[in-house]
Amino acid sequence: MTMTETVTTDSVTAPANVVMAVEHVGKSFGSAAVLTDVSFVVRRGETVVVIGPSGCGKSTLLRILAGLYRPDAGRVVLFDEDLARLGPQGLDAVRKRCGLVFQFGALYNSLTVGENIALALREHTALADEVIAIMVDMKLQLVGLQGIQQLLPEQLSGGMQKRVGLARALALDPELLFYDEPTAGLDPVMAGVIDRLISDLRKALGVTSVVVTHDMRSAFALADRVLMLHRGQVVAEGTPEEMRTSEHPVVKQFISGAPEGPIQVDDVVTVA
Amino acid sequence: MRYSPLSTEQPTPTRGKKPLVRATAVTALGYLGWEAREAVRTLGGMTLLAGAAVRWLGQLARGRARLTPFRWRAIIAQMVRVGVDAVPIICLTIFFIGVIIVLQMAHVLDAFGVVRYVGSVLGVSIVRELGPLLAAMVMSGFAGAAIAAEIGTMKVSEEIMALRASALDPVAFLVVPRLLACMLMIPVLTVIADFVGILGGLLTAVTLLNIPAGVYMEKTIEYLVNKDMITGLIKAEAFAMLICLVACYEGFRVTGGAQGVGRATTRSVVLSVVYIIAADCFFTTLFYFFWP
Repeated sequence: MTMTETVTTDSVTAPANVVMAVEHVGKSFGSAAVLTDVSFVVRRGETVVVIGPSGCGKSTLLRILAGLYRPDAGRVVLFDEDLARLGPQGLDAVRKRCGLVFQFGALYNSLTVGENIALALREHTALADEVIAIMVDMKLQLVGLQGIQQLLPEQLSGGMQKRVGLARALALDPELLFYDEPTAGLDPVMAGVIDRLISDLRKALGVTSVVVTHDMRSAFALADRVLMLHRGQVVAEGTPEEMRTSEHPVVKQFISGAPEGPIQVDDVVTVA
Repeated sequence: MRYSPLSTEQPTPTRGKKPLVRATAVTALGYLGWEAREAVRTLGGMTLLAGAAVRWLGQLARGRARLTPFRWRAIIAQMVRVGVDAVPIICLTIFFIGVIIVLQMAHVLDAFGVVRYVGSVLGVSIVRELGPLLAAMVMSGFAGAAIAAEIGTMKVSEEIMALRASALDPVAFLVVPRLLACMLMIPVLTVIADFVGILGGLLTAVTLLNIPAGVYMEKTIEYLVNKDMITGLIKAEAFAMLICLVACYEGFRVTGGAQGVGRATTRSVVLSVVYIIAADCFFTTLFYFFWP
């Protein structure tokens, strides 16, 4: 198992298969340092799962990667573009190539399911309404839902909302998908369905994925590589098999779920 | 990056400094200072929002942004919500105000023997002042509260962040339709308020003061000039912008769930009322000196 490999990737010399390079990223909210020094790379087509205890900064990291938060330190190079150097239009161009699946779906509540998925297509493409309707239907088929275009988000169950959120993230055919806790709050069966959906999508579309989760079952089911985030740093990195047999105290405690160990409940910094 | 009202990042500094704020708020002076700082900050945020909305409208004018049928539907839906729904309440309240002013003024004017001029007094005060003011007050209750609550809820449920993640501009999507709706509807509401207010006064004068309707209307029209209507409408437009921008800004600033949404709604109505009265005072003074 490699301990936090040193990233020397430069935007100019980035190998073609590196989609994203995260270099020494730090982020604080007020006086609370959420991320201190995070570095890793994501290669084309792979699924990287970031695990860590609740409140360790996983969601913050994901939002930094998606260009929604700016890091206080370090930089994120996405599709050979340094996010910090991009203006609003450049950032939007990068965002169009990414899809973000939110923890609770974050569907637009005033719009129907169909409109939720169609919105980005309507705004960013010049496609005719009929074509968009077909595409919406396709995206819904991809996530195993059909004929629910006319429903409002409030009429859907939690699992369905997440799947519609995924369909919406797929609207612009992204090259990179970010998942924020895709299985949180779901029953084990639905969590399994979502996991299978994520890996099926990867097979079908060849997308690169970054998944943030504290669900170990999901992490082991999806990951090519697992990163363990603790106290704002990546403390361990490896394949699921390497992580499972890891002797690293933090990883060991997290996988076994032992209440005593290096992970203290006090470490948990809650960020709104 | 400096904190901007549309940033998806949380404005944590205020949160972190809360104990300090509370300590200074113990003294009345400290409280005043804190409120003043908040008011200035809100005004600053509103200015940024207005700038972003104007930039988008500029892009629209240069053909770089489109008003899709979808957007039109959004604007029309907002116009119904902020305008059409407010009409009955405005009619009811301004009617009563017309009755009240006529009855209150009747005694004073009677002492000078000119009670037939009651229509002039009411006409001028309604068209110049009370029509726009009341329309704005009702709009701040109707539209302001609804906008702040709606945008605040969207912020809490991460919908705003979802918009940004899809490279969609929250200002273009949420602020522009609401701002246009408020600005398009306020003149209509003001004119309706003017007419109904004068009608309330007319009915009172005819039934209770025995002033012939013809005399009343003649005196009303005689003392009303175009300027009264124009200054009233200018003020109304300013009020509508303030209402919408305060509400949008407070909505975008929401943190912390349902409680935060409730706070934003209250703050947005309270601040709108304060800003409306302050703007009214400003414009009235301005018109008094520069357009007598």
